[in-house]
Amino acid sequence: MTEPLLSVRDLKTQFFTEDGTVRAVDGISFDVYEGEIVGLVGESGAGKSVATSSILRLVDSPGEIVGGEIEFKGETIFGLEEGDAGELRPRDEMLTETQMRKRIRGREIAIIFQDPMESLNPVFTVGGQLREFIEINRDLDPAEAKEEAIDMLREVGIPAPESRYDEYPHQFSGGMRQRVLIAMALACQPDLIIADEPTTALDVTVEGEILEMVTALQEKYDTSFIWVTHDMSVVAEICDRVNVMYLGEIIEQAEVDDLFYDTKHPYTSALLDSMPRPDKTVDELRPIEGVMPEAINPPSGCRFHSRCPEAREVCREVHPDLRDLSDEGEATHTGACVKHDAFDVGYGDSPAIETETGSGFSAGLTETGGEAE
Amino acid sequence: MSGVGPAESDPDALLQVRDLCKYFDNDSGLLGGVSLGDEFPYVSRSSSDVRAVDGVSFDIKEGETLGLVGESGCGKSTLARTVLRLLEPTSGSVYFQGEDLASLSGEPLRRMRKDMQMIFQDPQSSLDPRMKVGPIVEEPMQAHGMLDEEGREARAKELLEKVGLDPQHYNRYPHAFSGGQRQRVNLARALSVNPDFIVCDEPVSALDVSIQAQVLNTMEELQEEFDLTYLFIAHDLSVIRHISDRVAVMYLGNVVELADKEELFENPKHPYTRALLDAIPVPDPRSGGRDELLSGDVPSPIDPPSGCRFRTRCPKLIQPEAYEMTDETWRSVVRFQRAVKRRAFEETDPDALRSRYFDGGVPSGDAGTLLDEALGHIERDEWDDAEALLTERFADESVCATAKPAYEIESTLSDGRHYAACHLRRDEAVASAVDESALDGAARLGAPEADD
Repeated sequence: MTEPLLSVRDLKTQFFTEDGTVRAVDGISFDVYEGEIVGLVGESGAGKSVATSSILRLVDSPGEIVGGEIEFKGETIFGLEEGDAGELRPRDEMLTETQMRKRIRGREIAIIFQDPMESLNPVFTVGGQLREFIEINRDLDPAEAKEEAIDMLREVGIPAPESRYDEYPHQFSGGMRQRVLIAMALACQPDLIIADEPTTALDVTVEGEILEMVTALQEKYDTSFIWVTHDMSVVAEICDRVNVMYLGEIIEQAEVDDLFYDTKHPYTSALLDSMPRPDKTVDELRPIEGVMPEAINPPSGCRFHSRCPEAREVCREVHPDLRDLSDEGEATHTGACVKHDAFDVGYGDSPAIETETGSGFSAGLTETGGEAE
Repeated sequence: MSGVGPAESDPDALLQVRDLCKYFDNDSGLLGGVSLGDEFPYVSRSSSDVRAVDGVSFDIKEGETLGLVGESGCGKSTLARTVLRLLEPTSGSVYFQGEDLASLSGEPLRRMRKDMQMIFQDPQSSLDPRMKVGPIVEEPMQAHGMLDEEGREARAKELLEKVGLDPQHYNRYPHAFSGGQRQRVNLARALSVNPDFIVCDEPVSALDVSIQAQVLNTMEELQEEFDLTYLFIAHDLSVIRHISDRVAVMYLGNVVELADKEELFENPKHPYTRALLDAIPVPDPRSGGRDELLSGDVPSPIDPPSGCRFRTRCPKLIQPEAYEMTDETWRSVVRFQRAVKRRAFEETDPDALRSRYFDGGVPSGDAGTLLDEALGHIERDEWDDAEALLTERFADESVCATAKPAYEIESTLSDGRHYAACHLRRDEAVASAVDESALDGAARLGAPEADD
């Protein structure tokens, strides 16, 4: 395979709070190749959004990227080296803040957020905002930029773009606003677009339209996407490869078909089993018991063992890393669960442990009594 | 709407909704609706209503769950609030246990509320952050004078346990709970006065998938234990399919289809239901793509389309009887008319447009002449004229625009009734239903349209 467009290695982002260090992203690695849609799936609190902000170096205090490497098209977005006194310091070739702002964000890597209303300024016209963005990032004069902006609006399916150009964000419906943001993201023809739950707030029919449109535009412009979502159905529809996150870690990585039909990690299976299906009637849902623990004090061993139906004593002690579990000749399929032979830590002989399943919902309150919220 | 109308209404129904309408005044305020003109009288005042719910009828039997599904803005929540009389209905009636809620007021209504409860979408904002969970659950009992203080506390603790929380949490504040747990507190509060009927307005849509499943399971267990009847509103068809016994699909203030769950999902008879089902992504990468997506936005409920409200987006719009085009040509005409309406292209050359929109052949006869005229308008940049011509002579001539559909058809997968408001079902309609409900329905529903 060719060189990846974006390569993330062992990325760690932590938040230093009064209560302790929150390890929001704790050593994740993944690649994005040219022209593919990579999914990043997980429940809320899994660290998906922190991971994507880290890629753009948008993490604010008290958060900080504390380790790992991010390479994009041969350039170092983030990388550390050991200094003379043993301290960690940014490597020389790491892009400066100005370079990030002027060259990378928006031009090379664009991002689409979940709530389009918060990404558009309510006191400027939609067209004006789009035009300004194109003007600055593509060095066009205002008239050309306006023409380009109208073309982009038509491209993403906004009716009567010439007249809608002068309207304000509140005059657009939710789906239309999201289209404007997609137009904005595409306007500079970036190589990578990060879409952070872009369809979660939309109706199914609108979501369907947007997904179709993204697929079509992706083919046309050959843009790569990182698609962040909690919805397995969206993943099934548009992603090529998927990373499943749980509590700051990637616990399974596979091509989309393998993920659904040859699921390796109990968390992924549980997630799939807990969903009601639109295409068939499920008599009983099998929910994942309990709630996701706090990232401030993650469970020992495998982080999912406290909710896992297949947990054994060994899961409490051994922390599984991501290992390749695919058969020879198949596409890479990695998973982090010791039940597979690749780990060989005596899962078979280990006694099963009582998980929260036994105590029902009463184990629900979070350790900190919810004060973290 | 009388396809499920009162003529054959079920005597066992716990709740009967008949022709319920809720209009909102769009021009409230001192200067609302005032417009200035060039001629005398210079200032005019018109009033326009937002028809959020417009002539909805259905029954809910005791112990069943009726799912109500539709896109945002279709009037689901307004319907729910009007049914509970949290909003005053504009017209129509709601019979709960045989009594008409629309005519009740004051103390009798307040006492009636004990039997009907509601659960809201946002579990955070529906709980008072300054009250402890115990008192929150006890408050409805207090309001209805149930039990004494000790009895209420005991019941609150019992209910917390029933909904899957620890009774020890009685003294905690809502902020100490996660979203799913807060929704459980809402459930406990709704159950505290021992209601028969609970309206659930998107109760799980703010929750994570895994938590969603937990709450849905609890709701099902509680329904069995307390013999509850649910009106369950959601925009997520998967959730609706899981929890409902019967499903009503709403579009722009009307119910367009109502049938038993299996029947509706496996044998949808309204193009809107089909489009909705087709639009949902399926959690299966091998499921294949979708056929055809709906285009366009939901029209404004201030001035909804005549006849079938879905006709402006319907992929199956019926050809007016005046023309004799092939089905393919007619589809091209409709596609072209909608494209002109949306100004979806810049091209003005008639030949280029013909080859772009009518690759299956240009209509002949009257239709062909009209189309040429419209293309002429476009060539001269008279977009409004072209739009008006195409809309008036093609779209507005269809039976979908001239008559309001309401048919009851045979269910193939269940023995329940199947109501579908689409003229394509005219020939399949059960004989008795056509006689009495379609005609009756056309007459009754035709009436408000005449005011426009």
